[in-house]
Formats: sequence, structure tokens, C-alpha cells
Amino acid sequence: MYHKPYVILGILAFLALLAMPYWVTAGNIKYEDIHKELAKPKGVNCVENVKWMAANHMELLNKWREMAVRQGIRITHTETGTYNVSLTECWKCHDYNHFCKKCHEFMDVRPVCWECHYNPGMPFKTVHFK
Amino acid sequence: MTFMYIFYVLPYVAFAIFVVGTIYRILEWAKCAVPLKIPTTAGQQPAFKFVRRTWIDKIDSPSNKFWAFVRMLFEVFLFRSLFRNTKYYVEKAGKNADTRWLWLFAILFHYSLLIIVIRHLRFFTNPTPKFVSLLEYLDGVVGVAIVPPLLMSSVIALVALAFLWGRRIFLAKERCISLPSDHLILGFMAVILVSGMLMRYIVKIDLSYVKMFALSIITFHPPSPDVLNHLHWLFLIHFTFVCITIAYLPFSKVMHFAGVWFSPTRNMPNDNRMRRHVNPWDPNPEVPILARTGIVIDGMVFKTKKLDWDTYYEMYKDQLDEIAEKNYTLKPEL
Repeated sequence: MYHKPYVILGILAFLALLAMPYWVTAGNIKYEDIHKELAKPKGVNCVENVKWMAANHMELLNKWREMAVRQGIRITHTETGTYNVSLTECWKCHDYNHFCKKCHEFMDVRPVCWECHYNPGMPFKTVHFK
Repeated sequence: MTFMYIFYVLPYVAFAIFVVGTIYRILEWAKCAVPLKIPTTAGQQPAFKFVRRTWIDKIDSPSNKFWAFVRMLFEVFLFRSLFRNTKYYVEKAGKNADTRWLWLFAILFHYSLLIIVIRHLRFFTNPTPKFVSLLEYLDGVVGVAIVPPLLMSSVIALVALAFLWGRRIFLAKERCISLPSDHLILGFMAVILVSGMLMRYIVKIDLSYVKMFALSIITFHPPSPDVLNHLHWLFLIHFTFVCITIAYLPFSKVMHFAGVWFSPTRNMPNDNRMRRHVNPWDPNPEVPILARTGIVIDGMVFKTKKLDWDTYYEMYKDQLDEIAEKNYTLKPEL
């Protein structure tokens, strides 16, 4: 083998790059079963079926924003019942800090919603409207 | 469903093939001797004091190991030699056409891919490091009008890939020299990019299980069947293609990520006139090769291919006679 020190250095650099997830976190990667950690919602059923909600809740909130803000529709009927078209409807069953925020932090998702909208994680009281 | 554990084993197999295969190929390359000094240069080499030599000349025509290293960095991080990409036209009296768009799309594609890979760290780390979040924020800052924010790196990668593949499909000369393997790896990239973007923007999937699956891979903590059963089919396609691609890398042209460091025309300093380059596999370099019958290695004689005029004349008698008849004046056929 020619230029042995360079080649060994190169291979080590290659292996170090592959091990990136370990050294950028200083070896601190925690396996977490997030579904066991989340606070259990109070209600019986969600706006749509639970599996659909887990993947599409942001789509639903987008749709709701459009309905409430642009079309003025404040009541919606789905297969599971009648709901206020409002974010506060979510907090009736879901604990923001231990459900929404926890999972978003686990996934490293930063919704832009809270730049304008209220969530119970903020230091104000939630007001439910009829 | 125990067969879903195939997807848990798959990345380990793919990575083992990738790591072992890459190191094997690096060692194979490292065993190759470079008998001649063949750096290609595009700058003024050190000469008399009055010959101007700027720092660009030092990079393009390095005279020592340090500047050769700098040139390698320019090559690897800025694709310096691709930036000189021009096309020669005989019919335009030897004019060169600027085809540096290849450089542009190549560099866009590679850096987008790098950002995409770093962004994926959010699935493999818990808690996620700050720089990964910051990178994703910066990546999506332009496309924030939609939810979720449109990430520029994936759009740029897709556009650049379309150009790089389109070049191989629509340009006649490039199509002619494209091998099936070139299209294969581009196809893999297209499937991975499109399936990944579909998952983000169109077919929404439950990412919590994806992250749990990714964490189970990286922490060597087998996932529960519940996690495996909740993985979306589109994610499985994305994931399987990533694994196939990773396993295929050592056999493919993508090995240029290691091979570029072994390019003799790039990594040798241009010091032919200062230092004698000795053929590394020649044990007796004191006598020039042509003055010997051959090189003796381990008792075997490797003969040099010496050709004397008479043998040469016998071989090319017809052509040589024809040239002699025309008084050694050659004209191109028109």
C-alpha cells in the first residue's frame, strides 16, 4: 500500500463521518416510546378517526383556519360529532404541554401557528366559547 | 407480523456492505502504484522571479504538498475542474462553448443532498441538536408560505437531478456515453427524493413511528411490533430504496467521493523539475527502464516493450510507404 498514513487518515475520516449522529449528540441518543409518554386525551373520540388525525392534524387545522378566518364558518359536522372550528376545541381533550408540545419536541417540529395564535403553553388562561 | 423485522435488519446489512465495500475499494486503490508524475495544471508554475505567480496559480499549479492539498480541497468542495467545463467545437474553428451549467447543477445537487442528509439527523437523534433545527428553519425560510414550509434543498435537489439526468437523456453525446448504471443510480436518487417529498407535502404519514423506528436502528434497540406495523408503505419504499442505494454505493460510480482523493492528476504537486519522481514499483531506479531488459520483481522479469525501427516499419509498411510517397506532408481529409 502506498501513502499509508494518508490512506488510514482518509478511512478514519470516512468512518468518523458515518458516525456523525453519535458525535453531534455526544453519544446522547435516547430511545423513547413516545406514545407511552404522551398524556392520554380526555374525550372518547377525536374530530376524525385517531389514526387519520395522527398523520393529518395539521391539514385539518389548515382547513379549519380557512373555514374560520376566511369563510366565517365556526361550526363543523364530522362523522364523530359537531365541533367548534377553533383551536380551543383541541384543548378540551388534549393537554397542550404533555401531548402536543411533547410530541412536537420529540419530532423537532416547530409549527408556525404560535407566532399569532394562542396555545395553553402561554401564560394566559384558555377561554372556551360556546 | 414478524416479517416486518426485515426492515429492521435491512439498514445494518446495507451499512455493512457499504463500509466494508468502501474500505476494500480504498485499499485496492491505495495498492495501485503511480509510475509517472502526471499532475495536470492550469496555472503558472514557479519559474524566474519576474514571472508573475498569483495565489490562483499556486492552487492550479501547486509546487508543494501544502498547495496540492489546497487544490484537493478546491476540487472536493468547489468542483474546481468541473468549473473549467467547456465543449470543443471543430466546426466552429476550435471555439470552446461554455458548458459550466453542468458545474452549477452538480454543485447544487451535491450541497442540497448534504443539507438533506444533515436534516435527516432529526430522526436519528433524540433530543435533536440545535444546529439541525436551525438548518431546517433556514432551509424552509423561503418556502414558509405553505404548511409545512417548503424546504429549498429538496426542491433544488430535484431540479438539479432533472438537469443531470436530462443531460444524459436528451444530449446525444452524453446519451451515447451513458451506461445503464448511470441511469440506475440517478433513478434511485429520483425515487428517494420524490418519495421523501411526497411524504412531506402530499401523502401525510404518522412520523412519530418513523422516528421511533429510526431511533431503534441507531440505538440498536429492536423496535416493538407495534412500531413496525404502523410504518407507512410510502416510508417503507423510501427507506428500502435508501438501503439499496447505500448497499450499491461501493459498486457504483458514486465511489467518486473516495476516488477523487486518489486522482493522480489532482493530488500530485507539479514539481517535476524540482524533484525526481521514482516509479514506486521499480526496485532498481538508478538505471533507466529503457536501458534494461526489464524490471525484476520477486524473480519475475517484466519486459519493457521496446520497438526498433525495423519492426515498426514491418508493422505499418503500407501506411509508412504511403506517407513517404507524399513526401511526409499530411493533410486532413475534408
